[in-house]
Amino acid sequence: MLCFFVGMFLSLTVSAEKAQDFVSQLMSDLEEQYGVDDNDEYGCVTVSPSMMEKMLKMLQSKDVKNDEQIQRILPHVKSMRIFSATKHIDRYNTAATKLLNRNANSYKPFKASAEKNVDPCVWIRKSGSKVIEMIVLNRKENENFQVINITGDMNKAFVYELLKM
Amino acid sequence: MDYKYIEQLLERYWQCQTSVEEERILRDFFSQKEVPAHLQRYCALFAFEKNEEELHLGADFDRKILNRIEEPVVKARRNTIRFRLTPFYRAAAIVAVVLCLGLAAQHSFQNDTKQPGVSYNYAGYQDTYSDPQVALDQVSSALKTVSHGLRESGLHNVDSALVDGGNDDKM
Amino acid sequence: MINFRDDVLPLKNRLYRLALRITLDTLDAEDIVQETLIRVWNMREDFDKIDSIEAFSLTICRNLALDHISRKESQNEQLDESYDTTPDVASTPLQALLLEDKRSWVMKLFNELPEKQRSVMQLRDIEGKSYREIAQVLGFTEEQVKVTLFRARQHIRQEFEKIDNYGL
Repeated sequence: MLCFFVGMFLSLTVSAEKAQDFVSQLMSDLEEQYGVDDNDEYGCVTVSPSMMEKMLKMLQSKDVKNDEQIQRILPHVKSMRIFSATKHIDRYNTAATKLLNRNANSYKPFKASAEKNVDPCVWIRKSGSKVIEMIVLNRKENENFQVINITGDMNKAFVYELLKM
Repeated sequence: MDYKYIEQLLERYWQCQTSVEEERILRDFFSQKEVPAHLQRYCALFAFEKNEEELHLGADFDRKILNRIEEPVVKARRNTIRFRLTPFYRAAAIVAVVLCLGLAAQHSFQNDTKQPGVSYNYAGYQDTYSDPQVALDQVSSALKTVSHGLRESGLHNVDSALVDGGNDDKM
Repeated sequence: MINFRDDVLPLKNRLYRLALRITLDTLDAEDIVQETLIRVWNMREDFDKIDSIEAFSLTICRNLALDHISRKESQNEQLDESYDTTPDVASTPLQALLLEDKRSWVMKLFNELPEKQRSVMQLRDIEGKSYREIAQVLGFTEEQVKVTLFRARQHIRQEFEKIDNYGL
């Protein structure tokens, strides 16, 4: 127990200024454990901060139906990565869950005392009082496993807008 | 009969300057039997609106939805995790917490005030799509899944979920 | 104590009319209302945080309806004619004059408005909502609501004036 506390305040002395998003860490773990993904068993869609900006600009210039809502949501989203796999779903689900649990001081389930079998399930990471990262594990009827990983500023307004979707 | 008032109301209606009450007056006027010839063509519009107001779902709908709502829902028990620390560990914990707080305070003073706390390394990000519209479609679809996930998580205390990080641990 | 029957179910007709105005299909509209009510009911523990349950519900309803029609469009499905039960609907004002039932012409006029104009007309002219309430539902500013309403009414006015030009 004491080792835990020693470890905890030691880690605080290290300046963790540039962090890795969850999906990046997951893919590193997978490569370490299973080697390079030569058979394209999983994929990752990346939408960078600059693409997010392009998307917002595009929306602001056109008048397409039903865009007001997404225009209110997007400013809260800095980046998005979507990890997906259609094979070995259990393997990736386990790897993602292990990664979340291993970093329990960073990642917490969204709802207080969350029922972990809820699907899709939502986890968050905070910096100070701000929610800066959101991870959603989505297992679609055992055919598809997805991890949606958002970074940005996910505050109450963001959550309430999303709920209306 | 002087229809000037109605004509003025109608003109203001087209200009969107009427109040809800005034619009009701127009609808009532045009549903009368005696509407002057020069205004008759608008009867169809207001009559249509009045009629549409009356569309409703039947009792059959009520029965269907009540059946769905009143289905027994298996609710998961709230899991609470409690830590019970012995006196020794409690003391060690207090010392460690004080030290951590001190270090954290020191750390935050040294930090660049523009970028407090954690920030992400986006340097390695390579966009999968070059077309913002395609990227938007993917993002929208993903956000809908996130929305679904948030609803499934339940919304007891959105505030505390965001503020406390959703942690029920008690020391 | 929040009760489904008393607090949520009464919203059904307003939701139905909006869903119907957007989807133009009675069965689809009914499904959308069911889905909306269930979603709203599942959020009941946070009702005290929501400004207007009705506006919130109408927003969800509209979003579901829009999702539905965009899915239908992408599947290249034909618009269900079930809402419009008259077999011969006028396509020009002159034809409308020839038809006994001018109401079906007005209905067509309404339903051919772009969705935003249609929704604003529905919420204002039929449901009697204030600009503020409509803005809440659609996620617009009040100014945007007024502009959209203005365009819709002007279009309707112009169509009615065409009848006049044919000489009554």
